[in-house]
Amino acid sequence: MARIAIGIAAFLLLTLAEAKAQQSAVDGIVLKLGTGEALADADVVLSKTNGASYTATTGTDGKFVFQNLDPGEYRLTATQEGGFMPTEYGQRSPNGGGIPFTLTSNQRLTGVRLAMAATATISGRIFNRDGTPAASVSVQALRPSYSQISQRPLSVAEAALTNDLGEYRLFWLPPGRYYLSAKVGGSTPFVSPLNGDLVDAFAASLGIQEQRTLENGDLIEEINLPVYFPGTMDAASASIVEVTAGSNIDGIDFILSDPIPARHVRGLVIDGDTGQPAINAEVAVVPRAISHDGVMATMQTDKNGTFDISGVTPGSYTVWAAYGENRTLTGTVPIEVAGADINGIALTTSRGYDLAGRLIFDTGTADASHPISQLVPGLERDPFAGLPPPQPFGTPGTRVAADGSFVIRSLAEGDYRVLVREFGGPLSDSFYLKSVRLGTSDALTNTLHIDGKPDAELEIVLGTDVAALRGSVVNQKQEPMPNAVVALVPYPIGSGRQDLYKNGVTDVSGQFQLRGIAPGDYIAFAWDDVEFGAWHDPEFTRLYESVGKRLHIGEAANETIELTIFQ
Amino acid sequence: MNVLPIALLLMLLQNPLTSGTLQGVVVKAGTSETVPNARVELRGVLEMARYGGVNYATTARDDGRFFFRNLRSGQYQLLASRAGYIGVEPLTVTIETEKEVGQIRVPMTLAGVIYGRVYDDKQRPLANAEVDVMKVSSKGGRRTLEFNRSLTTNDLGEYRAFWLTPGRYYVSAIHPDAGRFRSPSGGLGGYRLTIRQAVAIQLPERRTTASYVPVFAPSTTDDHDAQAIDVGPGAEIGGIDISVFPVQKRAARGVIVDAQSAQPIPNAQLSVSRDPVRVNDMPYIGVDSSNGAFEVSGLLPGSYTFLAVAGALNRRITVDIGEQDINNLTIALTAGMNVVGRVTSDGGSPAGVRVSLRREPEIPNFKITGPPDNGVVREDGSFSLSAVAPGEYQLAVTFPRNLQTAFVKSAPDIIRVTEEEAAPLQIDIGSHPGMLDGRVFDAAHHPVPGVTAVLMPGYHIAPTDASGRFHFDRLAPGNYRVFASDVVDSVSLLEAGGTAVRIVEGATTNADIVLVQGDQ
Repeated sequence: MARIAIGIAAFLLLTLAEAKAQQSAVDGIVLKLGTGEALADADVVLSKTNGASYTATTGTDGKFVFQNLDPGEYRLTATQEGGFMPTEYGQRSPNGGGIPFTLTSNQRLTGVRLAMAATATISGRIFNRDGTPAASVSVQALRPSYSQISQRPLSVAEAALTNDLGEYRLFWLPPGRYYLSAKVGGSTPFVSPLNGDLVDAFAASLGIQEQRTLENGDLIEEINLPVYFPGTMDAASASIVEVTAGSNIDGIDFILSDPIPARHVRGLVIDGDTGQPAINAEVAVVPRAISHDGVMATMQTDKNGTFDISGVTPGSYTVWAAYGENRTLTGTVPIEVAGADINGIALTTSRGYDLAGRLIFDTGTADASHPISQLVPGLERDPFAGLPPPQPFGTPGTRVAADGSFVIRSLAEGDYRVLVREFGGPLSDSFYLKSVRLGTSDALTNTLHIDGKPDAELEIVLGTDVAALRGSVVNQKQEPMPNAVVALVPYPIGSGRQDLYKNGVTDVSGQFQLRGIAPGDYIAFAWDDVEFGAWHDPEFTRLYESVGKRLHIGEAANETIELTIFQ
Repeated sequence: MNVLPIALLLMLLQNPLTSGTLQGVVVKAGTSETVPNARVELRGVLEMARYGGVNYATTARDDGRFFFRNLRSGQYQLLASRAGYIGVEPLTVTIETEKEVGQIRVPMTLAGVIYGRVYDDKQRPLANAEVDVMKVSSKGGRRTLEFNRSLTTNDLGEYRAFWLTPGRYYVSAIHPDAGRFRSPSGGLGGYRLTIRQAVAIQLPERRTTASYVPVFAPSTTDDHDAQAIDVGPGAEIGGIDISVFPVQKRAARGVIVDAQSAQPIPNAQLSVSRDPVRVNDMPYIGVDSSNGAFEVSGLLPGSYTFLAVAGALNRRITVDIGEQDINNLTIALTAGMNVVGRVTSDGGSPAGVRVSLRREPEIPNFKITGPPDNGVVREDGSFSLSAVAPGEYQLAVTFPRNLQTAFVKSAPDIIRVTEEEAAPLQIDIGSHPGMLDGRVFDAAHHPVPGVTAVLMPGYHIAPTDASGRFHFDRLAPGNYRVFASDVVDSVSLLEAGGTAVRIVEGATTNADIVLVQGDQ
């Protein structure tokens, strides 16, 4: 991987040559990465930041020209239908992003080489335990995703079904590292109505599990779980298949496992308002670990308020129930499923609790450019458990009064992490969470635990003494490295809060700037090819601890640093 | 492949029969050859609503035999499934406490495969093309195409449709740029009518640019010219390659007028169809309610029927679409003709019999409603049909309850309505129909339950019961062909196959027939 990335860098990072033309222009050639052959029929798009965009299609010589351009900041991207990764000016790796460049008046950027990485193929056969080909099995190419902070589920990059010979072929794969899984009866992923996540299947007690009668008449219920290449049911011990640009890896064959016993979860949902059984309440058994393959079983309670959800495999789950219009009454119960059915769950729903609180700046005064009423305190479930949002649908949004007071309405029981955003915006660079307290308990280093009517106010103190870190990224030869990924991770690794992590990208001259940093100890890294967000994973970051640069950032400091890129 | 004698099997049963027991064997349809290791399921007929799935399931042994014990009493459906095989219609079995149901034969048929590659118009392999495998169905004796399988090609343009029920297939492919072909509501359920009626809407934009439509193997957009692929049991048919290409769609424009006054008719309805409707017909019809102007777009080359209706006025015209748009069409609506006739009967009075005309070619989803007593036969045997647009029709006769055994003895095959006054129609009905009783056997002389007997012409169908018997009644006297096949919609059988039988007025004919297997 590193070698490919160096190759791209060498191809793409050109100096901006002055030319004699009266107006600005860009010209270049689209090539196949590795072989250097010219690529025809590639669409090259030049788009001006906040302005027009222009498209050219390459001929057999692979060349493109854009003329009569206004000065300004531009991005340049090449795409080709199927078979090639989109490629942008300044891109350091096939999966990485590019960088914008600036054209001054009468400047000609000439000889740009956009080297497109060919996509890859993984193919093979899936067999049953008896050696026969397994047909209509869902085979998935999975890669780690860092979209959920602090957890690292696998996400589906491509999926295919086997044919009657057990053959599958996953194509147009971006170069990279994949896990392969195969599952009988796999369904098309679809969007969960509970929380909008993609889930593998969504079914009540039908369809997924197999039922089998033994010769003595006993009824066995079983369920098929995914098998990971080369033949394990544990994703953590699966082998990685690495595909480089344009490679076709065949012979990734593996064998399905036998189905495993599936259990029932039975119980009663109670309407918290009346104490009576909740009829037609929605019940879901939600896996607590995030998985690309999370099967969520749901059903409605019957006329006695009871439910019987089958097809549940051993593991940790949250039983969730919702009742009433807009699901205003909700409740959860954690369960551990092992070798037996779970019976007799009593789940009392409630309307949730109003949580009153106050936002305070550590300076005691409001910042005129960030009026406190423009800030929005929010809560996220922690750990993220695949559960629906903490407030019923239709709950009014939380508004902060001029004195900093607010009320979060109808909050369901659970554990939460506190966030503060500017209205309609991302996390701010102007402040950080300095302390969060519910009465005497610390709700910043610990989670905020709600299991009844709160007996104190939630006090959120925002620190305004944010620091900035600027610097440059160079290689071993002290050359500036544009478009390098820079990450600032709280130190010691794994000890900090997720909201303290910062990241950025170097510009064309290899410079970066990070703002909104909370004072404290950090370690800084620069990579030329890294999966976005991977630095949130302590296991990943510790691998690079020896090449990172440790630093202490003081209150309201303006630090400067030089980082050497890891290639 | 040892088949244990039943007595030995009974001795092997060690548990007393405390509740119902069922045993049987899975065989290749029409033979005694056993099929090993099939999954056999018993679905409780009453329990289905509660569990929504399987109640009992087991795997047959290597010798094809399967056993269920400790079954609750009740009615069940028995089904078998196995990779590479197709099961027949579920058999219904009744389980009673302390009783054994034995020696059930569950027939299965070997499935087939069609595979090939899809290319674009530059002969490059086309990835992510949607390949639709359609099966010919002859329901009601009318040829229609039903979606059977929908697949997507890989980066080499390859597709492979497997586990196909033996029968006649057509394969089409569509470029991924065309979007999904199947309508979201249509699912795999089958053929969707493409006729759209327009009432008082604005004319659409002219849709005459080149676009992609499904292309049938080997390279045609007209399913009537498509390559028929006959898949027998166990057949693997390769090389069904398709090159997709963009087509130019055409438009036809004109005005709907009253033939008497020559004035445009606003608010007319217009329907457009081909004869019969092609899979690729997707005409888009707009009628301007203010001036009777219309535009039909999305037309592929071919011959179309335009039917316009406004109140009691209607008109049908044929429009041939070639390489150009058609402008300045005029559809002049008239009141239509009165068709009169007489029904004679050898039994009681024919009063209450209803005579109607079916359009041939039929225009799906479209009915012209006349007065309520239109076509109802009066006491003296006469009837009349009003406002019939000129054209060709087939006769349909329906009988009232007091004439339950009546049948049509003789009637004109095709009725041509012109703008001239025509002679009255003469229809003769009889009250002593013929019947046909029979049994279906396999090659080993076992009765075959759970298959469908087909009587042609007319596409009469009847299922066989547990002892392989079938029964047809209310048949007009004449010569027929009867057959039963594990490939029920076998086109060659429908066209010419089967055992010849003669049906005699007022009598029952008997016929024992042998199951026809798809690989014969």
